[in-house]
Amino acid sequence: MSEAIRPLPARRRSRWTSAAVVLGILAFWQAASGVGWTNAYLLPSPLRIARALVLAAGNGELLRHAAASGARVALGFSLAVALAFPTAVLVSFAPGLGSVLDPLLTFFRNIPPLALVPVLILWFGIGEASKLALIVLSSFFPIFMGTITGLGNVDPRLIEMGRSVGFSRRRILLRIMIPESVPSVANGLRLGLGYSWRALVGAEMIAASSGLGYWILDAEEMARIDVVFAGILTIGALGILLDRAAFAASSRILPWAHLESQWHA
Amino acid sequence: MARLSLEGVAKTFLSGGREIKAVDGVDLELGEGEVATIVGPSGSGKTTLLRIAAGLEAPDSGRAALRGGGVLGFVFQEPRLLGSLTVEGNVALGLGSRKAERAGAGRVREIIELLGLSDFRCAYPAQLSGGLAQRVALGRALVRDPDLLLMDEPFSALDAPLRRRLQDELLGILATRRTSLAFVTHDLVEALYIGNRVVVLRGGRVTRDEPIALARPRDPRSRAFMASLDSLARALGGGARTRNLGSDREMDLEEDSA
Repeated sequence: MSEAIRPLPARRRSRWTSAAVVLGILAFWQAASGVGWTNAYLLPSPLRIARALVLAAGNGELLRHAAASGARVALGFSLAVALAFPTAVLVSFAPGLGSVLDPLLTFFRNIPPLALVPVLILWFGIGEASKLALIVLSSFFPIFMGTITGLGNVDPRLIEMGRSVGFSRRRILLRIMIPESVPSVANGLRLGLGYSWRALVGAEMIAASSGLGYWILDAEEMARIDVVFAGILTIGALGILLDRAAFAASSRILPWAHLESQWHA
Repeated sequence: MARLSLEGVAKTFLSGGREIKAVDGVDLELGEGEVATIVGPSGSGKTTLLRIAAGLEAPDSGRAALRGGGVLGFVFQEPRLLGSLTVEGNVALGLGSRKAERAGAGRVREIIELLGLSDFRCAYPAQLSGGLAQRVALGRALVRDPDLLLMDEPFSALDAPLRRRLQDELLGILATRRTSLAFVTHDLVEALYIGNRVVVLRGGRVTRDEPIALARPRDPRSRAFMASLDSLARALGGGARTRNLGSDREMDLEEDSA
């Protein structure tokens, strides 16, 4: 008698389902374009977009723009981490500083970074600095809030445990509070990375000559709607890749943060 | 010479605008190698007294002193392990500093072995059962070879057989050292099983403090043990209740608002 077929693990099944849904949408979209249900100037067919992507990949255009955008995101995001993390630690520990700065931080948190573009151009010019500033502004608050939340939610009983083994305040911060807040900080970093990627097009609207945002805007001016969509798809796909890479890296570096308690004793 | 000395220790808390005397002028001395169990109903000041002894709480008046600047270990009711560290890392945390951790790697391994945690050395707290986690917490307290060990109902969340196993392990460890132990519990059987001396707290005051004249090893089902248990329960008045847990018996002090 043949062995019973074991069901695929849930994760693999859901991946196949996701792939099938995407393929189904693409097939429907292609078919709709083929029979003329869509306006080719407003919504090009998937095959036309794929051709634009292959062409851009072949002549090096895609890599050049993706690399320029990637470099901006990497630098802007790193700057945001370097600013947001220490600020959050300082605000968490300096008595009264949090409540003093709270109105100011809430004010800035609610301003869409794109609204600051004119000011950023005035302050930093039209070079790389203003683009980086926009990315920093977009990703600062998720990282800052993730760190503040993480530090604020550390179980006070663990801090007391630290005192019971003779830890100083500094050691409590370094050995207990920062490691224990890592899952929340990692969440903030992941969100911040997504936000910096989203701010990219806005940043590259500021007199850029390279980058995926510039590529999209340039294609729009040239009425190349297929290239516009190719650029949008590239940003989305790279965003997914970055997010997955960040998750995989955190699983590897912080395995304990991905463990769920197996015991409830 | 007393290792721990509490002199006229008092502590009052404010709760809902009302002053509650948690500890009310307690004098207590604990000698070298002495094992004192502290019993009392909820709110009788057991935990507060232990926290004052550990320096985690400052008394309003009186004095708590660990003689000779000895090393102190504290085991809480919950394991309080750091999720980011393995069993080995959590035990090493008890050494107090990075430098001591580097120097004390051998000592950490020794404690892990002593507590039967060798197979879980690289496991994270989320992967441990309640009993294993509490054993790691005990290891964290023992790793510096403390002169005084303070334990606040460390086994109360565990089931009866596991609790008995950990009690035996603790007694085995204490038998090889001159560590003094103050062990807070609400379970009279546990108090008589572990202690050489039992201290009863009520309303923040010591109402009874006497040695336990039972030979070791102790059998909670033995006639002598039962007699001591009944005597202790009688001395506590009507505030004790017993529960049958399989072949074992557990006697708790009833909660009161004192």
